[in-house]
Amino acid sequence: MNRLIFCELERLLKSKLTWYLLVCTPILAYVTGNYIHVFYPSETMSSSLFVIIGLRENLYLPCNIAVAAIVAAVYTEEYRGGQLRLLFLRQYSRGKMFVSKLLVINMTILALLVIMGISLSLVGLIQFQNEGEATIPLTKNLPFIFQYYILAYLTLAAISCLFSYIALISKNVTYMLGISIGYVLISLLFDGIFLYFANFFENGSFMHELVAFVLIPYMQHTGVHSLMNEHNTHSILPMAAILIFYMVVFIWTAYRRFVRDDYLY
Amino acid sequence: MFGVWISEMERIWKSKSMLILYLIFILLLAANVWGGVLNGSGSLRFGAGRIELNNLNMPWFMMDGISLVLTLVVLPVIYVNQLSGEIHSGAYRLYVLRPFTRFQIWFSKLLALASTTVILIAFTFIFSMAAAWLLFPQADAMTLYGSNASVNVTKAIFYSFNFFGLFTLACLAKLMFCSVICLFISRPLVSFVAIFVLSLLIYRIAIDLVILSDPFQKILLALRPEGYSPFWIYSLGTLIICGLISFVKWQRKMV
Repeated sequence: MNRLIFCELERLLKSKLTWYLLVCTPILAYVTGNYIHVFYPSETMSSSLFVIIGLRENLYLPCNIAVAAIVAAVYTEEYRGGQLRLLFLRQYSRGKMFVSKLLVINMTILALLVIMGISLSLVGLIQFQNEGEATIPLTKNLPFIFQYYILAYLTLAAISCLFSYIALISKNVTYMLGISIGYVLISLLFDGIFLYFANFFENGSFMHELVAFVLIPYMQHTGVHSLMNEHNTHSILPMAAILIFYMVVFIWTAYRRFVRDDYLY
Repeated sequence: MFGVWISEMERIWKSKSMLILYLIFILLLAANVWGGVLNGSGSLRFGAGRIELNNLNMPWFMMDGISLVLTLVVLPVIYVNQLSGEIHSGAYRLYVLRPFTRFQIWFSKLLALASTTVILIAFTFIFSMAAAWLLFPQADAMTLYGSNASVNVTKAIFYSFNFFGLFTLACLAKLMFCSVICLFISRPLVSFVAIFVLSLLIYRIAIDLVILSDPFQKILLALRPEGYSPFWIYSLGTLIICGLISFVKWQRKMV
């Protein structure tokens, strides 16, 4: 199993796309630094705050698109390229191959998030060195930053399960990316529709939060931020329920599709 | 030449994936209209205030979100699939064996994609007009965007028609932009991501190139009585420059 995971990881690392994403992450951190310099008052920004705000600005769109691209490279592109036909000839079961691919996707997401965090810290230290540093030192704020990044990782892991399912039902890379990015944009643009239904329930109740954050990009945009900054602890349970639902349902359906369906035809 | 165009149209529209995409798009339009009916009013994304929806302003207002989804997702999916997808899969090796010049083959492909774009936008226009007149309160005057002047029903319909016309122009500019990217990056996965990222970042070169990702506000500015010349300059400029690059690159492209 370890050899299989290592083999999958090696194949993903040999792809130019992975390296583009790795190189683009520090560039994205730098661009975010410039953007925040323009749109946020400089006296309220510190390097430790930038590590969080920088991720918040990128989590719901660039990070989700990066995850969609990785998933497309791992599943759909291998199918289109015919590489899966060769992989299935190996002695490993399809179930093990699926699990190894899923692990590799999650390891890559984690690696990208760590690089993002380091890049944002460095950019923050350079660009916001003397501003607000006395109030929130980077080292003292580490536990809060760590919690925020763990939450961000969980949302990305959950959305990667949905994207894996989309990747397995799409036999074409562009359609897979189109549906995934469409899902992200629709979640952010048409939030009024599901917030309308959320308002049928009492504000702050379990059901209200469950309906409001049912689409992960909106949860990343609003939910994670309000949970961490405004301490809306009542939204922990509904958000956890949604993430678990995504992970269980979509891993299971994707697994069934990969293992039992006649995927190659 | 007409035969090549018909053949390209058949290849686009006879694909099952295209029909599924079209169905998803119709569902999205319906959900958007339904959202408008439920809320009764809507906010313009770029802080231009809130408007009460009626049969005269609904057709163009519903494009606030739809235009973004069309220019960033739906149309690039079709373009990349037809351009990069066919170059990458080697389908063009067979196409170029046909008794037509390279120019004719590429021109017919882009013409077929342009026709598909026009069909999609025309359908959206008819759908939004029908939904607006059937489901929204009837009004006899509409206030123009960026002005206090009110116009009657005929002029309001003409305004919506012009909006969709200008949106078509922005989408054709996007088609040419995508064709250039697809010729330089033939791997569909990378070209789609590159088109998405470049469309979002290119406005840093010139703010009016935002028409390649989100043309809604610029179209409304161009429809004001005083007009907005940068919209015409950048949309026509992108169309012509990217068109030229696309045809020159295609002549030298190894398929």
